[in-house]
Amino acid sequence: MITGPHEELLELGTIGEKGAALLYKSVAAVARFDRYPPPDGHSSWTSDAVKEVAHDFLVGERSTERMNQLGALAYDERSFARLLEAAVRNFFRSTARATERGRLRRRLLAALESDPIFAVVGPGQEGSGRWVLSGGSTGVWAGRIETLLAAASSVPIALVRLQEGPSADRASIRELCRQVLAAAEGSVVIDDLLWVLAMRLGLRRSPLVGAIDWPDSPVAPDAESESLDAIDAHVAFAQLTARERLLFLVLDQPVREAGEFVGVSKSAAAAGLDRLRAKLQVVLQESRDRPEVLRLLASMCEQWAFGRTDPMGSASKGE
Amino acid sequence: MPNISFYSHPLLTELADYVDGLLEDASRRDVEDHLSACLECRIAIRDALPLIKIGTPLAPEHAAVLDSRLTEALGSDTPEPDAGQLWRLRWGDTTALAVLIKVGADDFTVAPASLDEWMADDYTVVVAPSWSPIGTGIAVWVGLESIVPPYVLDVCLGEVDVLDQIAAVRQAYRKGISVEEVIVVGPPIIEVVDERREYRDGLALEFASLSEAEWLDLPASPAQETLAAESLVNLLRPVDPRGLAEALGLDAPSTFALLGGERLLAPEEASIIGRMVGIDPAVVLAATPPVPPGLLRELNHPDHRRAIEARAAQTGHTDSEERRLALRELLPVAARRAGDEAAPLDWRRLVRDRFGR
Repeated sequence: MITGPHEELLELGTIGEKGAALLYKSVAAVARFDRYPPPDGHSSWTSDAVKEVAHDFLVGERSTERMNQLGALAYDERSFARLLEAAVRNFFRSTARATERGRLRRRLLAALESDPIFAVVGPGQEGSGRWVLSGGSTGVWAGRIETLLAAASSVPIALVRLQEGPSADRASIRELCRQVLAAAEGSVVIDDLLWVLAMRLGLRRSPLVGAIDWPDSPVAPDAESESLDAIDAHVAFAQLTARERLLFLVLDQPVREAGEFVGVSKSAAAAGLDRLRAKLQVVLQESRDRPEVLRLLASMCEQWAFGRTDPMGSASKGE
Repeated sequence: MPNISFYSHPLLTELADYVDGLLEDASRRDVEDHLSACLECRIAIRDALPLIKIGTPLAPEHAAVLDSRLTEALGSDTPEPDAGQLWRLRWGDTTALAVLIKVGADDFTVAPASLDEWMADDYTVVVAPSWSPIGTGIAVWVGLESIVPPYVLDVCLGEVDVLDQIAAVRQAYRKGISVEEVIVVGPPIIEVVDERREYRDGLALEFASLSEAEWLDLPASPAQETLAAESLVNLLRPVDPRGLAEALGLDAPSTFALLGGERLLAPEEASIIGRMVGIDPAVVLAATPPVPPGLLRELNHPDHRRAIEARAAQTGHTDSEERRLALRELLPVAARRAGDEAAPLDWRRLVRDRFGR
């Protein structure tokens, strides 16, 4: 007799009745706690919406790889539940990322097509259909990707508030394209260009099961009349994960205390603090008054962490 | 049942059940204990959406299936560990994949592996699905090479034919140069906000924890206290090796094995040594024989892992406690047979018998 979803997976080679029950429950829990909107075509989270996401998880793109990861890594029922939940979280994020990449592709094409410094190589020529800098060599780029990534990396990114959240502004995208095509010294297919920009802008494909901390859904600034510093602080806040917002509050504390405050080991806290400091450097590199933005950001993180009703009162170690 | 430690947060499904009042008392208390210390989880509960109904779960007809080679590997007997094999490693709550690079007597050099090959960095070999033993692309993180004890090996998932590539990438990594183009690796991590940085950090932490896995140094037990007593090696330190060999009638290898703590002592040999060093033979006999490396290696061998876990599940002990108990029981057996040169001990058989295999 099969006792749980993990045993069922090993027995049947796929998700069965028990696995489906756990999967539906995981989908509903992730949607609820990570505050994802329901899938297209659903105005709220109904049982049909849960079913749709669960079925996409099982039959959609990379579902076989997902299943193999679960099978390879899970060793008992508890570990299976933990890995399945991580896979569902990453599936939600992956779906959101695909939407963001689609949006970037449209913005990229608009930037290339509307600017005379870029040109598409005409039919019959070497590199036909690829993009080049106007007047530049049309020879097909076949170099190392590092060259293009390094060129993209040198471009500072200015962020703007779009309806769907902070995003690189038009001038940044134009400059990214210009620098990448210049580094290529030849013609580049749109997919390679998109890939490099996606890497630069943090829109990589997500892992299937591996745990990574991600930002929440972006939070829109409250008022149109905010100062530029407040807008910068809002943009930075939106790019921090829940854990990073907590780490920000203990940025100057010893690693052990920081780890205890956010509930991670000392080593994980050290790595998280390093990444947070580096991330703040990047996110705030264009800020005019950095100390003021940091002060506003600290205030937002505090308000987010303690400003609303805490379901357990104020028992936090950090308070 | 949750049974959550501070550093392992509850699952979201458990938090949902907690919020909805569906947990049993013990599990509810575990979640509450965690919440009292964890601000992140309290915020998650505070900001969660209302209850989402899930209806009647149904597995679709065409749901993805496990690769048949993976299913087969998961049910197979444990092979002798060898370089080039892909293994699942496991210790405590940590589970990870790795390719064995070098198999030593007491530890293994491994390259962490992951099945999200698009997360690879520039010192990570990308194995295409067609070359993978489980039908899924593999990233072999050569830059995160680690040394792990044998007992963290859990299940062998097959062979990955990338040892030559790993050697070339290792060399490039050590020299800090780019990997030659014929080898498929990932793009470098340049951006600070590149999530692969966090992913790689996570893998490094997992392997640091696997490298430190230890069952002999876990909380004190009678066996461990005995093992910590003065060893025969210390007692034999002032003894001239040649004289010892003559007195005991041993050849050179056996003598040095005895001096190095790799050979047990028979009672009559203890008497002779007692006379040689001017110590009561009873003291020599009382000196704990060092754990024979052969026995330790055998208890560490992944071949016994499933039997040890099965026994632990029956007795309620942890796997580490079961290993220590076995060691305590097998040491006297080993000591009684120490002088029997004609029939050397078959440690594997002994350990298998101990676990009823």
